[in-house]
Amino acid sequence: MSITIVTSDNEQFCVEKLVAQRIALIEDMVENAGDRPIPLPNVTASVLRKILEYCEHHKNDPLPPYDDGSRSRTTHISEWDQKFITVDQEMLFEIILAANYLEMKPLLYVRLNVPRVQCLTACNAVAGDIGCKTVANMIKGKSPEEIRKLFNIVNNFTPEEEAQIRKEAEWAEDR
Amino acid sequence: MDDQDGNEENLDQQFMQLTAELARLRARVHVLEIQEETIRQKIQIRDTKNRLPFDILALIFTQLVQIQRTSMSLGPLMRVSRLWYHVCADNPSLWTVIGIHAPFRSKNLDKYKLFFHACVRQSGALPLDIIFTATHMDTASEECWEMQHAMDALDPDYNTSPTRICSHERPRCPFWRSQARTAVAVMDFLHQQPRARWRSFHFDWPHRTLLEVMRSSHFNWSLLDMLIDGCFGLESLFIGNGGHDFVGTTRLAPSLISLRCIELVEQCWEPAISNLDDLPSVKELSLEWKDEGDWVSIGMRRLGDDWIARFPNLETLTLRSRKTISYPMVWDVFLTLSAPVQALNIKQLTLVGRIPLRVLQTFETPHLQTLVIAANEMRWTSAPAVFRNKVGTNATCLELLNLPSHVLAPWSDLHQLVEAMENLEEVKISQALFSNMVAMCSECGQNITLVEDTIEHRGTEEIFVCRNSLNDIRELLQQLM
Repeated sequence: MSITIVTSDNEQFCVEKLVAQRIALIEDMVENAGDRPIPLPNVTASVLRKILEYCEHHKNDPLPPYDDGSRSRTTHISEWDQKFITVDQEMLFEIILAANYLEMKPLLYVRLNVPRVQCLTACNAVAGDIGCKTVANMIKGKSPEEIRKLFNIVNNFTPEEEAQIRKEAEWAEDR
Repeated sequence: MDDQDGNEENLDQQFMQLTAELARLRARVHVLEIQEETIRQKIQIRDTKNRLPFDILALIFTQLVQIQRTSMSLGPLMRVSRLWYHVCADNPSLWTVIGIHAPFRSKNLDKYKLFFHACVRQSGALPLDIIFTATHMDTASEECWEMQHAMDALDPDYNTSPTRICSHERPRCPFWRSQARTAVAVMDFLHQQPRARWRSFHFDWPHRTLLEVMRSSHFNWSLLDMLIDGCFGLESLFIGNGGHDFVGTTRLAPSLISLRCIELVEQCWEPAISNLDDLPSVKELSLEWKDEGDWVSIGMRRLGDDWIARFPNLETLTLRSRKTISYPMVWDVFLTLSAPVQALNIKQLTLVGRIPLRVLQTFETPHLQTLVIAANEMRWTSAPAVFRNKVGTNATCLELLNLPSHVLAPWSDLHQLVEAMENLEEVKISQALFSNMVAMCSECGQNITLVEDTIEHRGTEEIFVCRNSLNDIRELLQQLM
């Protein structure tokens, strides 16, 4: 069985239900949509294509072990995921934003009827792990100026604010 | 009259000119408005592309803190923009990782203290994770060697006596002494702080020499005192790489609500076995050995015959050996000491490194759910017998991680192993180097990630995962053989 998803740029995707249901937002919408196409006004076709590629690859992944927060979480990204997320910065951000919009974090929350804390699913990794880890690795070891340059961020501090924050984070200066 | 007519005619002209000018200006404004809207939209698109929302940034920053194992990573982020500043300042959980790592520089001592106080303040009432790493995982690294030397440098006779730890003789370097003194000063500072909010304490000294140092005039307190004095909420303790035989469980236990993980290295226990009390709160225990000489002479022997019985509620046990161990000798000691070990409630047993599977014979674990064998370079010739009689019988999950090809090349070993585990439901193999082609299981192909070329997949995370009945697994393994 398959369902149809329509992206913001009006492209239609015919997706296997098993794959589409890895996306929590769609799983919720499927019940109400019946046979009608499911619109995703905040996701473009190129981004959805990537998201679906991820869902397809991880569609049979089991739930990870119970995570009560006491274990240190791995910072490792698997080889496939690493390749998957090797995209330009614009696409990387779009994937992260789309995964956030698509509520991929608590994916199996409804279906398995278990507490949300236990539902760190594979697809959650798109937003919560892989994407964020990748951006974190990009930031690692960089100065504020280098980060601004990397992400095209404007320094919107006033000189007074900047001086105040410099004082506040004095411990981080020139280590 | 004529003048009046002329003025009136002039007024008409002026009016027409003004009307025309207004129309032109309105047209111009319209064009500018369109341009403004276009640019505004472009700016919006640009900002959307380059600006991640608050909660996503918080996730990214959390990852960064985890990767670098310290909230110190937030320093540069706070100064990027107002949004980034607020993400840092308004998320107390980002400030819970007080990680101070080598190399230590004396000029930074005050900054370490400021950082500590910043974390305590910004994290509100949340539990804190203290990570003090004075060495690196790679003990062969030059940096580690230097840190060992640095700890030696605390010895008052450092300048005159040869180094006792390292086989290599190196010229004395003032930098080592400076590093060591700074490290000690940081620990001294930590010792003076309230510790009620400490949730975990990861303490990794370079070498056990420090034990002697800590008993010298450089310290007037001990690590144990530090742990038992006010660490009411300590859940996780990592003592790495040190000869901390003063980490007496008897005195440690009462101060802990729940001690879930201890990674103890070398000789970590009270010399007097009679002092060893039960540790009912401990659910996870990981024991690691690196140096066979220490291990055999003063390591395991101190644990006592029924050492593991001191952990009545243990659920996860990990035994890890480094490759430098000459395992027959070490494990003979282990086997002798572990003979009376009974049952327990262990649900997961993990063997990492060169651990012979006959070690498994020492355990009776009827509640075992998962058996993990990782980085084991030994042939499994005796595995089936071991499993049939002891540990693996009831486990439902077998995980094999990071195994070299010569272990798994004879697939019959694995097959026999699986045969012996009668309740097995799931087999996971990761980062294993196979010399045979892995084929798809006809029954459960859907659940298998197929590897087509073993050479290309060196180090891949997942070779295959099979979650089916034992028959499926048997069938799969038969295909592999």
